[in-house]
Amino acid sequence: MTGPDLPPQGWSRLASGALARGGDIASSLLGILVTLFGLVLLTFVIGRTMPIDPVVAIIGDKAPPGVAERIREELGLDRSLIEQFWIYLMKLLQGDLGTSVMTGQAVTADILQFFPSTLELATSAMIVALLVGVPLGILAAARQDSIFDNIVRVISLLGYSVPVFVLALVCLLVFYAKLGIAPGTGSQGIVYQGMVPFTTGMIVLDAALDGQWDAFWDALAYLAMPAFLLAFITMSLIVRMTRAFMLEALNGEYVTAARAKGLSEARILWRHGLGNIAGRLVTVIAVIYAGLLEGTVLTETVFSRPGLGFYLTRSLLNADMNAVLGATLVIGVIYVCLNLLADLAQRLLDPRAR
Amino acid sequence: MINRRSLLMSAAALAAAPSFARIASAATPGNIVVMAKSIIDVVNGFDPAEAYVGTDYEITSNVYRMLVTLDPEDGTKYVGDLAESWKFSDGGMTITFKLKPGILFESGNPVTAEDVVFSLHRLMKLNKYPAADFAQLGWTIDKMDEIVHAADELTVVHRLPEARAHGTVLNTLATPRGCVVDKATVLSHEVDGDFGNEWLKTHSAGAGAYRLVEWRPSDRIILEANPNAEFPPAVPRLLIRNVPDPATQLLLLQKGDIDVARNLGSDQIKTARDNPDLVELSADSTAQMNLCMNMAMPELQNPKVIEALKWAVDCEAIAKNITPDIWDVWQASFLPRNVRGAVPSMFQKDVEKAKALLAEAGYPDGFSITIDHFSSWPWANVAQAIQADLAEVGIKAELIAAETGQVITKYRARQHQLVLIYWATNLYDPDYNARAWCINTDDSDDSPLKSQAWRNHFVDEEMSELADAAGKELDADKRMEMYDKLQRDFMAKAPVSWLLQLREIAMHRKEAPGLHLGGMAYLNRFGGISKS
Repeated sequence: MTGPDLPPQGWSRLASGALARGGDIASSLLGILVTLFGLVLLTFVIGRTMPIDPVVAIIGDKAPPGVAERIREELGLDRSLIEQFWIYLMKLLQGDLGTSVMTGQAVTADILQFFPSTLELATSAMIVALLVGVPLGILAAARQDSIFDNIVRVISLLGYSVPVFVLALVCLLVFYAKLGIAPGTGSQGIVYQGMVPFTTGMIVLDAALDGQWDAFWDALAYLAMPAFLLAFITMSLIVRMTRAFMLEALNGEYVTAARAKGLSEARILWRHGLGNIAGRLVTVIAVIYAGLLEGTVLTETVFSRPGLGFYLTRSLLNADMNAVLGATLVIGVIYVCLNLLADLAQRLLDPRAR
Repeated sequence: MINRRSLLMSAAALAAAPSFARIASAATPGNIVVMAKSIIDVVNGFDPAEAYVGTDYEITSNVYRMLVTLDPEDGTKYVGDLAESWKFSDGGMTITFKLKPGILFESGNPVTAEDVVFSLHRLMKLNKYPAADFAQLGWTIDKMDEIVHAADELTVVHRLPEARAHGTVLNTLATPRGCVVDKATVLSHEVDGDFGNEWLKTHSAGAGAYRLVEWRPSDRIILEANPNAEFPPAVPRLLIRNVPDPATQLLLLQKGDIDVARNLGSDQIKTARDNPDLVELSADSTAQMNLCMNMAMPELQNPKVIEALKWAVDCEAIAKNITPDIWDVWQASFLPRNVRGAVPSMFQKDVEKAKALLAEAGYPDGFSITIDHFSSWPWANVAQAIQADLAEVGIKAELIAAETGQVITKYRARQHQLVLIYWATNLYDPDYNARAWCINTDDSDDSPLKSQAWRNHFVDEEMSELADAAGKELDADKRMEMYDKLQRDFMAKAPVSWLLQLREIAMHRKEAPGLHLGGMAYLNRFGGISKS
């Protein structure tokens, strides 16, 4: 056996460390599975007990009772709740999320259609929000109670207090209808519809991957306004959190010590301040990003960009339970993954968390 | 540092602005009509044997053709679509349809009697919800060979399994349930004996003006001109974009990014009327808003209370202040005003009369009641107005707002007291609504016919018999007399207050005229839309 030349205690420490890490991973995985199972179970029970008949969504209100009963049997709704859940679980383990009654397609196919739109919008909004929000929050904290700080606070207050659909309509009215510098709603101009092959489902990326640069600029133009709007809302949250964390950090003794040592204000802010709040900030950002990926129904509705939130809401209101469960599961997985990533990032950025 | 970033961002924005502006100002191309509509109602695609709601109906009736259709100028008359002529024989129990020769499907196959027979047999054998409309005419799967058969290549014979008014039969055939599909094409896509059902959800095999090219649920529907259509559309491509928000629809229309807007609200219509580039189209829909009263509630078992409720509501004020241009007053009986034989509107707000009726019924101080209603516009607003009107006559109404599916589920289970609901007939023929609202021969929970009358515990043997007899009456004039009596009896006795009737309004840019609104989704036609 080859390996580093360690004393016997070193090997045993290494082995116990590996075992502990293995145990951590196993326990994390178990936690994830239990969380997802609980999520599916809870959503299933709520969905099956809510006072909406899914058969109405499929055959309408005028269908005769015989047809309604037949559809109910076809959907398996005549079986006991436990039996229905067991069947669903068995199919789920085989990767089958069932068929949506609202679209007649496999839920997996629906999610592949709707989720990329949300991912594209949420990710672009998040990037813009981070690039603007974090520096603004830090600078506002550094100049606490200055005019700059007050302006930033008022703008962020606007971002999280005005309803998103109002802002969306105002944006459309100003930038599209009045100034004419932004396209209207949708995700593509008419001439490009059906021209970009489906690769990832994110039209901007797909157009770039296919080398269709006209279609790329067109799709980017359509993405810009809803993305900036969501970025503005998201940025408002990030600015507040960053400012609050930073103010706390700047009151720390180590900052006083750094100042006493004569370090520049920029170094104090960006290295010591940001370095200390980065771990916590990443956790908050992960939760905000997960929230965006869950779908932003109102933005999607006003800008006619149906995404996961729109799909989930519409399915829920029609008791389309396979669709609701599938979308909820995807959202659950997103939260779990982003939490894991945030944990890892926090450990990397913050030695206290290791 | 922040200054440098601001500078860079401003530069990027300025650089991008011209290209965004170029994209923003692009009008719709001349060879495409772009229509904005909420298409989230499409369920299960566009197989005519399965379609049942507004948008499904609209698409299938523009992609397929039926034996007969309703006259676009007079919705109470029938004209041939695929049929050149038809005649009744055998005491009215047989209809022989002669098909027009030379009509082609989009595949290039000729339309034959065999295709018609296959389509109607297929509808029954698939046994989805639309089959129920034919089942009500006595059609059964096992007797389809006797009911519909081909006499020769261009002759279809339909033997009525039971006596039914010819208007009802022809109108049922004129709905998308009667769409004729291309047998050879459909069967070439059959999987596991599904009669091509899975394939037809997202494809078409018809002889209409258009063919279905693409459907992305909740996003868009693309239709293209059928290359073999007898009446080709004026514009070769039609894009229906899902734009659920009415305010957004108006903005897009004003900017010329869409040619037609289909779901504008009262506010948007008012604004659009001031724009000289926009033209308004409207047609009476057959959809009605009504207040249904569950006679399981002791107070509502008294006919005077029911009548008092009908006199208590101020529909004029509701139509004027809440739903101008969209919902008009129609306080009559179970037939909408654009259906032949509809009796005129009768009720209006009369507080004193309502109070007197309540006093005669033994409720001089009124009583408490609940009203279930949809939480969306205009239902919540109308419910509040009704609540205020009922308060004036002493009835304390509690509002219960919920999502559409929840309200309908509760109504179907007969758990409501009052419910503000929506009803739209599938046929212009009066039989459809008469059966739905008047016939209830078994009021038990296990009744095989859970009609609208059943949902409100309304049982009237005489009216049940009259509605059934009118549906089977072959003498047209006598039949209309029967419906007249039925409607008047219904107004006097039934626990339903009809309030408003929907007006379908579309706005189009003046350079894109030609949309035909027919009052029901399956009578709306796109083929005439042109672009200048």
